[in-house]
Amino acid sequence: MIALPEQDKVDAELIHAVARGDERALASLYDHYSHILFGLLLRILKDRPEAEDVLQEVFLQIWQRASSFDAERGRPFTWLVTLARSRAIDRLRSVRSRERAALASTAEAPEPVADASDEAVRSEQGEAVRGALASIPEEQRRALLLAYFEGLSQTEIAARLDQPLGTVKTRMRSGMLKMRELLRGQVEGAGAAM
Amino acid sequence: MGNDEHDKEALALDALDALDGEELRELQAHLASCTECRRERDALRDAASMLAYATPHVAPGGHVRARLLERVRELGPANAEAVAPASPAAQTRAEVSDAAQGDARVLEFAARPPSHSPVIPKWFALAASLVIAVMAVALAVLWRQNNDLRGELARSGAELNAERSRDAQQQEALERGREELQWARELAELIASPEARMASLAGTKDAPPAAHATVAYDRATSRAVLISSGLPPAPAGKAYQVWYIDGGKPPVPGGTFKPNVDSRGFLSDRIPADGLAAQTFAVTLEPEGGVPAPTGKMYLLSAAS
Repeated sequence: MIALPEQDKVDAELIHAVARGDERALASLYDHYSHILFGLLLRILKDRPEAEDVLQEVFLQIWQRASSFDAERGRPFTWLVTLARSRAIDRLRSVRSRERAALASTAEAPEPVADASDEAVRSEQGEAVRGALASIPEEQRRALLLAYFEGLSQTEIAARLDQPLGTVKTRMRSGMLKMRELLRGQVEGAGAAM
Repeated sequence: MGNDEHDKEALALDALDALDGEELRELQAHLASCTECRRERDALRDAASMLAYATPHVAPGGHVRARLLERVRELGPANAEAVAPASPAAQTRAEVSDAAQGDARVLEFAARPPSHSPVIPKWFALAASLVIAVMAVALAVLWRQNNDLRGELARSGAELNAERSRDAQQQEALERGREELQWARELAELIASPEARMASLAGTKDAPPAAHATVAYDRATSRAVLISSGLPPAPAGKAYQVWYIDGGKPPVPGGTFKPNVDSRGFLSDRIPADGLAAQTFAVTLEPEGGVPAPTGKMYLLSAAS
């Protein structure tokens, strides 16, 4: 198992190689991250062909924009996940009405579960994240998940949960800070200096 | 903006892209000049991104990787002009050329059936090659027809409108051909694994006589690919669902699929952990989206292997 700061270094080198036009580096990134990114895209879009389409777009974007990655500003993993999530949420907004997405999400998003085939490092991180989520209060968790997986803004979350905006903001802040505290060991590879 | 509680709240919300309205504009203006807050926000974003690990990892279809790498080769080294997404027309053009390249590769595969794989019977490798070759030839014909049609259209601009619907039909057929070629590629990819196994599914009494399917599966990677033909179209709100069966245990639900207008169906599935020991495979007609236990008529069934 590769320690995280090491993994960050490897990933940053791969992204720099992609920026120089190295196809094999792109293939390596794909092989390493397509499963987790695809899981994320599926959770957001709840539609396999749509998620596959966005996954391809994301990696094409990586190919074309790798030179914009700045290791000073965060982990390579954050950069990849942020690209994927933004694309998925744009797609969600453009091809589906909010109502349809809301309907699908009330039909119960699958509970985060472990995948036995994941590499050890990923399982460990998955466990840490699920553990962190389980240890923050339910109302904070709900607000975080609505923001992250459904792309809702603070105002939309307040409306969805029928809570005052101020309450929602406080919950999200508390939840976010708690998550960071609990995951400190997982993200201290780069850029986590306070 | 100082480093007080209120600002921390804005940074935490921004890390989740949840800030909106005036607050978002204010924060953006502030971040443009405050390195300390920007660092804090980026660090919070590192933590927020870990939420991606809360979802199960899922394997995308093998065609995504293949198409990505093809597209990357077409684009060549990164350049700013290519960032804009391709227009639908450009996309179609790219796919036509994808398909043309696909021909050569699949024909090459068909000419050299995998001979190193002890678990795949020779007859199957041969049959699979044949299927792929037929698909490739069909695709080549469609492609040529499409090109001919384009040539005609170019010669006679006045007929453009009349021909447009025909062109659309040709495009649809081409698109179907291209899709089936992707299926063949996924199948080829799976059976290239030394651990791959095959099962043949025959129609039951409820299925048309010509209905049948083949499942290729690899327990090492939990991947399964099913290709069917001759199944009736799935009625509205219904789809065919595959089941993984191990002896007398309850069937383990697999993915769903709908045959295309040529009555060919395809499913690229990830076998659930409790279905990996399956010896038998079945296909039933179920509500779209699938069900946890079979409720509908069974259309296809394999002999226990």
